[in-house]
Amino acid sequence: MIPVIGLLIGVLVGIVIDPTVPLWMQPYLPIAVIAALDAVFGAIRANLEDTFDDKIFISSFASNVLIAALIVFLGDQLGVGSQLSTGVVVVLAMRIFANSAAIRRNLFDRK
Amino acid sequence: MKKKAKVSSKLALKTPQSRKYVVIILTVLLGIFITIAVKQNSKPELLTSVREDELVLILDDLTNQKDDLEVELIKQNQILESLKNGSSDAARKAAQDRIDQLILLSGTAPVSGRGIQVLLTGDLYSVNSFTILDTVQELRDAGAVAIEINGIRIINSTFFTDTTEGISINLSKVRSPYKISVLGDPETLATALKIPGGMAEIVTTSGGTVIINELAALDIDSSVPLTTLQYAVPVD
Repeated sequence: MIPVIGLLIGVLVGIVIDPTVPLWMQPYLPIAVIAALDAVFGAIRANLEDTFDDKIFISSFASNVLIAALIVFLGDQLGVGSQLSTGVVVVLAMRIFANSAAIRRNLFDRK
Repeated sequence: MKKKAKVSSKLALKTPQSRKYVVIILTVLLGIFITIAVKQNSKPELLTSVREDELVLILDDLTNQKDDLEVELIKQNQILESLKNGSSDAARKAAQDRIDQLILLSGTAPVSGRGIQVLLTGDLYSVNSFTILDTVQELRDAGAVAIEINGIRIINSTFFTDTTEGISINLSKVRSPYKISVLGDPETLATALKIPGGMAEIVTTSGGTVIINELAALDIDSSVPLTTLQYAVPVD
């Protein structure tokens, strides 16, 4: 529940203060967002399975964002940036779908 | 798990309480990032978030467009120069000549000049819509610039049909005798009608009469209204 509230607060803050992202960060932002969303879905799943650990959430959040940004950065340096970021998005989206499927199954099992 | 907890306890995440705050901060950050990413994406004209290879493609497109426009600019400048260098009187005269020519051909104004007058008489057997159409076509082949039949100007869209008493031109009925006024070179026009197997011979052998007068001055007073272009426009 707390993460959802935090998310809503973040959205509101983003709308109100309208921050500008530095130029070098802009290609990584969408990938970072997807990676972080993957971490959030994983956390929701873990929460429903009563295995949620905030340490794991924090570390997965940070590492997901960092590794995703790193892969895209590396891709840009190698000249295959757009292909690699597509690949990252596909993998992360698959994970989000898998997590959401687990969340759904879990919710049905509870009833 | 215990080992990991020890490691993280050395970081800033000592108590479960502080870890909870970190979770909240992270989710708040995620929310902010999501809004930024969405906002960034809704400004498509901004090129800052476009990758290098995509920028190259956009640049190529723009370069091609620029080249095309430069060629166009050179062409237009040439036209401008030629219009500037030629005296404006000459340009105006050329335009006026063109207008006169078009007025003559489109039949939108009364015209006068040299030509012939043809008087056709006969019944439906000797003079009908086919005869008239053949006559008009032969006259045009001979260089007729303006044709009038019984006060009706003949233009490219004129049509002839048979009626019980004569023919109708553009749905207005006319009957024998047919007075055809034609502007053009009189000799050529007269010869075109008189040649063996031509219009004059066909009409006379089927019982009609043909009288051809070559005139040095002839007026065609009838005209057709100027129609507005509906289905086509001129290409420059």
